[in-house]
This record gives sequence, structure tokens and C-alpha cells, in this order.
Amino acid sequence: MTPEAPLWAKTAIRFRWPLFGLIGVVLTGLFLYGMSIMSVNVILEDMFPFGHPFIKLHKEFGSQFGGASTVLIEAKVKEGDIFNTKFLEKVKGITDAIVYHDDAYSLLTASISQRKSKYIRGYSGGRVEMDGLMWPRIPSTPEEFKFMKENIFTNPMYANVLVNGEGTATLIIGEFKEGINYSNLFKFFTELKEKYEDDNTSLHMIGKPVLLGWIYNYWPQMIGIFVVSIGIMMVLLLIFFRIWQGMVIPIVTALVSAVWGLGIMGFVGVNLSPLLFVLPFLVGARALGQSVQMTQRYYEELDTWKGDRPEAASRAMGALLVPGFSSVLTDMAGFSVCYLAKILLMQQLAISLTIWMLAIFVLTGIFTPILCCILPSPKEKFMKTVHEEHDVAGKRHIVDGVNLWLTEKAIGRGNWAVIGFFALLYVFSIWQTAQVAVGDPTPGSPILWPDSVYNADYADINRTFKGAGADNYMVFFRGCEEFAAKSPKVLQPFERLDRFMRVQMPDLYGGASCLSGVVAKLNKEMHDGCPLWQFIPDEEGLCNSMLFLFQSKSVPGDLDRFADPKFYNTNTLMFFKDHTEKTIDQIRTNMKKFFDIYPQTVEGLGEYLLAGGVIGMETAVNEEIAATHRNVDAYVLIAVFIMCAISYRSLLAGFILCIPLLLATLITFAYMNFANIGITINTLPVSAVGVGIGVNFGLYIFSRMREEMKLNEGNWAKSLEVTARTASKGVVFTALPMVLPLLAWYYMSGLKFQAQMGLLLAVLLSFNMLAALILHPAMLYRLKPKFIYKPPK
Amino acid sequence: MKRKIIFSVFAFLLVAFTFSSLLYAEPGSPTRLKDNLFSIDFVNETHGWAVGYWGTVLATRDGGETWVYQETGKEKVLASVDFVDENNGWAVGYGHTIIHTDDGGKTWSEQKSCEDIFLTGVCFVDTKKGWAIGEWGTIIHTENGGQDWKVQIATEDAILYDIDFADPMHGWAVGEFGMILATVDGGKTWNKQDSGVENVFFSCQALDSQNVWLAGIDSLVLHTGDGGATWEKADTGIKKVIPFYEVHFCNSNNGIVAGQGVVLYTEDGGTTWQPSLFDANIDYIWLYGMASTTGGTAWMVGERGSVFKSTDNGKGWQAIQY
Repeated sequence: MTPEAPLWAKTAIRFRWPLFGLIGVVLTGLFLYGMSIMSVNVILEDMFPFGHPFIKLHKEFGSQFGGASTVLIEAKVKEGDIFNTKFLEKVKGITDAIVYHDDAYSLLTASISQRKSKYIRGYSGGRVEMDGLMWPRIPSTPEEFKFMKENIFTNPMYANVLVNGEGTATLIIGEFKEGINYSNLFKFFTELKEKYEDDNTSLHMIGKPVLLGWIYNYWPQMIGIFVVSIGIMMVLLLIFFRIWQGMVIPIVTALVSAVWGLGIMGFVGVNLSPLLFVLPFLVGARALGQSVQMTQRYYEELDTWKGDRPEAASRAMGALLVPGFSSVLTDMAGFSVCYLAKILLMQQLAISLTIWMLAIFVLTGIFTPILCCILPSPKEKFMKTVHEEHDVAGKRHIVDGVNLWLTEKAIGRGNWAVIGFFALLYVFSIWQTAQVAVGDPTPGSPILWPDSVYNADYADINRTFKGAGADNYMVFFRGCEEFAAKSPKVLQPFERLDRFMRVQMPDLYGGASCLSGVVAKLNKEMHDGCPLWQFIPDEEGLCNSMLFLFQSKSVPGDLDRFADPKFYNTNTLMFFKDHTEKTIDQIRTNMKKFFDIYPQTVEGLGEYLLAGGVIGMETAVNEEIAATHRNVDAYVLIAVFIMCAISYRSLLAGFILCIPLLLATLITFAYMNFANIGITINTLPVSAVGVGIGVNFGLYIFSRMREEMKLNEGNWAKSLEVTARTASKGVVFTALPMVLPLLAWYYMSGLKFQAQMGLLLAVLLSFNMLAALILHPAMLYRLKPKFIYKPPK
Repeated sequence: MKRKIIFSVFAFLLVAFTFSSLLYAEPGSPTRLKDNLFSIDFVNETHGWAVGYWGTVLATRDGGETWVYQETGKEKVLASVDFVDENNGWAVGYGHTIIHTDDGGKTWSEQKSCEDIFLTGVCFVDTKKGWAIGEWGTIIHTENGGQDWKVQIATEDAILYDIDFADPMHGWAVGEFGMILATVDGGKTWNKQDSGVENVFFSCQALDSQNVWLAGIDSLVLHTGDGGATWEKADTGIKKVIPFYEVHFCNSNNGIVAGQGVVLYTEDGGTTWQPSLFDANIDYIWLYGMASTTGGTAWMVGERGSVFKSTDNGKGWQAIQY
């Protein structure tokens, strides 16, 4: 029999109506307002580790040289080549649309149609001709097209970079501001496609702004999946409880908790990335699970107390206080350690989700029993069933039958087999875990499915342009005097770096866009077009005079993407085929090798700084994640261990409860490796939360076992049997309404990332459920720990 | 109790092992890049060398079946290579670079140039006597295999691009502003010859003391049959104005001229020229250096490490993979 309800629980139930008004109406109304002011955007800046040197560089040079918010538009012909007036007019139209877009850095746009895309030709007598490739007029005669082709294909800055080797496609590179309205930008890109695509022309677009646009495009679908998920939960609850109250109470609690949680986010000023939508869903589902436990306990108490609703509610509150609080605390530990990552998004999530979990404790601990008490009692038929199922010798719920069978096997002859199976699973998972990547393990975007338009475009651009690449990396030079960036001492290392990367990473490195390329080309053409001279000469004066000549034939801004107007700073924009963790590792290793050979400082002129661009930012995030993720998971486990050890005043309790969690964590990583998901800023919070979220199943089993062992005077088998029929059923009722809706995300989401996270969490929770149903009984029976029952001396 | 302690220790070890097992993979090994090549030389049917960007020296010992990179320790452009036998050769380049080998290129050692200039061409007539040319109309000379180099002439601000000797006495050097320098006394004196043009010459080949061919910018091909007293423009028939970077005759009748996206051949001593046939697209690459063997095989190198081989005196070319 449950001990008498504590005073606080009795008081809460006595004042249930005022409390209902306060929690259900006043506070929920307030948080509803908070929810309405919550921002739901992808803010790139929030996703970068703010203290990382690469991010500081990005802040310093980002608006000047761009790199992190680059868009590549490939305009391609299906038949023939691009050298015809109609197609080049399209290229000009697209380029102009980007240049004049409010959110674009106009001067950082690169395309063959721009005036600054010049041909440089040396003629006899040292005469050098410089003019736009298709400026001021688009070529129209066969001779003009021939001339244009020669100018493009003989210039390494254009051949295979802006125009592919076959002449069937051209790249338009745009740089956009950060924190803009990506939905609108995506609309702009969609309109470009509609306007310029025809039977023989296709446009392919990639880059972070495009990717974010695609993610926003899935917004209505996410809402749809959310509704379906709630529908699944409702149906499951109806099946489990067989009464409408059993469905309404947890659903209302979960929805109110969602309003509270999102309201807290709104008030705290946390931006909720659509990519992390599965996370609040999980927390909401967590509230539902907790509420199910409480509701089930309430009906058991209602049966015991012969329909006395206030008594049943207050006793249920008292009984589930410790396990409820412990499990909420472990989840809070999971969320709060995400604060360790020096990434704003993670820290904001850590704060808001931790507070949210606390709110769940209040809601499921107080609001759910109040709802139980307020709603009318279930019909007698239902109560009769509850009574029969509660009786050891009585009628069995189908779930009870399965649970009992599992418990019998776990504590019977299959005891060692169960422990052995989990041990083997452990070894297998460690093996898989060791191979999990930090960063994206696949080219393209792992957020979208491989056959998505975005990933198909990504692959197409990499295939078509040998000298370019879908992702970029930047090395900066910060000069300490005017014209430092023109010095050969500064430019020659960039030239060497380009070659070094060609040698070291021939399959992954496309090429570079750098002032050194301009100077080398000028050097060649000013020496009668002799190829012997296509390099950066040693003479300072020569470099200076060549660039002066180039500038004299340019308009202001032509060299802005290479250097600032006073030539203090310059950069190299290096193209790579992808930003997978393997590529990033190779880049990191080779950059280190390069700067071990060549000095990173140019005496009296300045220093080279790593790194910027999409890959630079990704590197920063990966390094932060790599430094944090082991700590995050370890700290969650330590927190769980300490809390469990304190709760049961036993180190062994801590270990026993942590074993399934550890195994679940390993299985999470094993699945991630199997499904080719890396540990990224998006997956880290999900996996961290997953570590803590399963412990409550074990806690409910342990709490019930303690009660039953007292009642059954130390009879382990009998106590485990009763637990299987009560707490274990609660575990199943709690877990399945979380697991099955998560599977809806897997089957329905157009975003691969959300689908995978849905499946990942479903696997994780299922495993924790199984561990609670099989492994815990097996371990308890084998170890017979004293923290569960201490036989009288 | 003992059982529980063992269990706890085992659990702790599992945790520790788990978090120590997350390791990273090592990156892969690099492969060789094909750099621009500017010059090629064969001493016989089997032994040849090509040089180019970033101190590249490429060598074959089996008539071009296989090519290996030779380590020079240089990063600057190597513009020209000349071997007098299977062992002794020199290469010159930017930053007054002169390197020498006496073991067929297994080892290369640096020689000290007397002038701090870009050396664009080199020519040796035996293991001791040789010349190198470069900026400022400079010709430097050695009598001891490169141990000491001395300036023979440094005329004016014009870059010399090529030098060739028909025999130890008769040689020509050509370069910017239509400059032709000739010697009939083994380089003791160099005299200017009047080419009649002011265009830059990138290449010269002296077939004998009287017959010399030049090639240069603006599709220019010149020939003298009288040791340089008079020069005549050859009509290659090419309409477009391109730079010719190399002219090479395998014998007095069979010649080849190559440049930006164009290679022509002649079978009648330069009277008529025809476009060569290639098994690869050369439209947008330049071809710079040529060599031939007495057996009738011609070799050509150029942009992005291109190596072509012809077995019919330049009529048809086959791209060589290495």
C-alpha cells in the first residue's frame, strides 16, 4: 500500500481549482504570449563557437571577403555550349539579379558577365590588352565567341572555375549577408529558376543560404508531421487506457508543457532552429510520458481508495515525487551540460530546455493529478479492469502478459543469456562508436535526402567543375602596412599554398581564387604572353606596377574580393569538393604541414591567418563539438550516476542504472555510424538528451521494487512479477507514445536529418524500455542489491 | 560483497574504455601533380628529360614508356634543359638557377651563376663548354662544365629566350624586340643580326652553320640559309595571330612549329606547312618545348604537364600518360 500522501500533495489537491486556474489559465496564457514572440529561424552566427579564432576572423573579414554565406549557381545547357547570345544574356540577367539584390554583397559576386571578369592578352612589343570577357556587349558573332572561348579557356582563373572544361556550364558566385530572411531569398532563387530555365537551360543552386531556404520550405510539412504525431499519441493512449480521460490528461499536460517550454524560449530570447524541431517535440513527448506514469498511478490508487479522487491524486503525487524528480533531474542534467559547448545555440538550448524540464516536473507532478482529480471518475467497468489487472492472480492486460514473460525469462534460466547478450551488444557498439565522425561524413548536405534537388545540384556542380568545388575555405593575410598585400613576399606563399594543396589533395581540391593568380597572369601577359613568366616575380616594384596597370584599367571595387582598397589585407578562396569531416581533417593536417614548412609570418608585412569560408566555419564547429561531445556525454552519465547513487544511497545503484544508459548511448553512436550521421551541432544536443532520457524507466522499476520487496518480505521473484505488472506496464505506456510518433518523423519528413533524429531517438528510447523490462530485472535478480531490500538481521 | 565490488570495477572500466575509444583516422597520402613543362631533351632513343614549373624534372630511360620525377630541391621555374650524354646535363631557370647532374639526374647539384637574372635557355656542346641566356640580353658561358660562369655579353634591356649551337663555333641566341645574336667563334664575340622585325622570338634552332630557324610571337617563323645574313619569313599559312613558342626540325626537310593551341609540320623544308593531328584536344593549351631523336621520334611538352610523342616527324601526335 502506498504511504500516506504528504501534506504538500494534500494541500495542492485541496486547492485544486485555484491551482488549475493559475497553472492552466494564467501561466499558460502568459507563456502563450512568450511563445508568440519566439523566433523560429536559422541564425548562422548562433551556430558558430564564439570564442574560436576562425569565428573571430570571420567577424573581422566576413563582410569584406565573404565565404560563409556563399551561393553557387550553375547555369547549364543540355545541348551545345554556353557560347551563344541567348544563353549569355541569361547569365547576365542572373548575375545582375544577384548584384542588385538587397541582401547580397554586390562586390563579392563573380561571374563571366561582370566587367571585372577581364581577359588579359599580351601582344608583341609588350602591349597588354585588358577588357571584360563579355563587357560592355555580349558577343554575337562566331569570331567574338571564338575570342571569348580563348580568353576563358587559356586563363586558369576562369577555365574549370567559372566555365567548365567542356563549355557547357558556367558558375555564378554570390555572397549574401547573414541573418537575412532565407524564406524570401529562397523565393528569389525559385523565381530565378522559373524565369531563366527553359528546354535547353537548367539552373542548379547550392550554398548555405539555399540550403536554409530548402529547410524553411519544409516548414508546413513539419507542422503536418507534428499534428500526425499528436494523433498517434492520442490513439495509443486510447488503446492503453481505454477511456477518454486517459487520453485527454497526458495530451493536455503535454500541450500545456509545450506552451510553457516554447514560451520560456520566447521570453529568454532563444531562437529555435527548425532543424532542432525534433528536440522540443521530444521534450513535449517526455512530458506526456511523465504524465502517463502519473495518470496510471492515479488509477491504481483510485482502485485502492475505492474511487476517492482527492485521496488517489494526492497519494499518486506523493508516490511519484522521488522517481519523477530524479528522472526530471537527469534530463535536466542532459540538457544543462550542453552549456559546456561554446556555441550560442547550444547554450540557449541548454538554458531553455533545462527550465522547460523543470516546468514539466511542476506540470506532471501537480497539474496532471489536479486534472485527474477534476475530471469525472472513469466508468465502473474500467475501474473493475484496473482492479483485476492490479491483482497478481487476476486478469492480465496484454502488455502485462508480455512483461511477465520477459521478466520470467530474465530472472529464470535465461538470466545469464540476457546479461551475455547485452555484454555482446556493448562490445559491438563500442566498435561502431569508435568510428563515428565528428562533422558531416557525407558530401552534400546530410540534412537533406541524397536524392533531394539540393544534393543532386551539389553533386552536379562538383562533377561539372573540376577547378571549383561546392565548398570553400579561406586563408587570410592581415597586413601591418599599406600595400603589404601587393608584395611578392606575401603573394608567393599563396601561390605555393595553391600548388601544395593540388599535390596533397588532388581529388578534393579544386583550385583557388586569389590575387596571386591575377598577378601571375599579368606577369605572363606583360612578358609578351610568354608562359615562362606565369608566376609571382620576386621584384616588389614589378608586382606593384602590374597591379597598378590592372587597376588603371578597372573600376573601383574590381579587386575588392581579393584585397581591401589600401591593400593591407588579402586572402585566398580555396574550393573543395565537400566539407566532410575527412576532408576537413585533411585540410587541417595539410595546412599545418604547409605552415611548418613556410613561415606564417612575413617579417615587417603581416601574417597569414586560418581560416574562413564555409569549411573554416565548419572546422571551428567540429573542433568545438569534438572538444565538447565526450565531456557532454560523460558529464551526463556522471550526473545521472551521482543522482541515482544519492537517491538510493548506493554506488551500486548508480552503476546499475548507468549501464543501460551507457549502452543506449553507445547504441546511439553505433546507429549514427551505421546511418552515416556525424556528431554535429544538430546531433549533439539530441544525443546528449538521449543519454539522460531513458533513466526514468529504470527509476520507476527500482522505486516499485523497493515498495514491493517490503510488501513481499524480500521475495525477489514475486516482487519482480508485481513490478512487471505495474511499473513495467507504466514504462511501456510511457515509452510507446514517445517512440511511435518519433517514427512518424522518420517515415514522413522530407528532411533526412529530422527523419534520422526521429529514428535515432526512437531506437534509443526503445532500447531503454527493453533494458528496463529485461536487463534491470536480470541484474536485480542476479545481484539482489541491498539498496532495494535489506533483509532483517 | 566481493561480487558487487568486481561488478562495480568492471562497470567503471567499461565506462572508461568507452570514452577512450573515440579515435580519429589519418588522412591519405598525396599523389604527384602535373606541372607546366617548358623544355625537353633526348640524347638518344631512350634517355630523355623534361623540365618545368616548381623545379620539375621528369626523366625517362626507356624511350618514354615510363617517366619518373627527379628531385632537384628547387621551387622556381626551370625553363630549359640540355644534356650532352646519358649522364651530364644542365637545367636553368628563374632566380639565376643553374643545376647540374653527372649521373643522369639521380642527383642534381646547384651551380653558381655569375648574374642574378632569370635564365631562360641553356646549351652545351660538350661536357665542358656551354652557354646560358636570360634577362638583360645576357649570355653567360662556362668552359669547365659550369663550375665557373662568366658573362660574354649583356647588351640591353631585352630578354633572350633561346640559344642553340650548330657546332662549337656557330651559335645563335634570340629574344625580345626581334633580337638575334650570333657567334662564329664559339662565343668570343656575339654580333647582332637584322631580323627585319621587332617581334619577340621565343625559339631558335641551328641546323648547321648556315641554316637556322626562328619562331616567335604573331605567328612568326623565320629562316636563314646564309648564316643569318638574310632572314626570310616562312609562310605557314596560318591565318590567326598566335605566339609560336618553339620551332624544331628533325632533319633539313621535316620541321615542326608549336604554340598556343596550334602545331604545324612541314615535310619540304618549310615551304608548306600543315596542321598536325592529335589524339587529344590542344585547342586551349600552349606547347613550348620540343626534341627529336636520330631515330625519327619527336617529343613535345607544354601546359599542365602535357607530353606528346610523334613517330612520323610531327605529322601525328600521341598524348603520353605518366
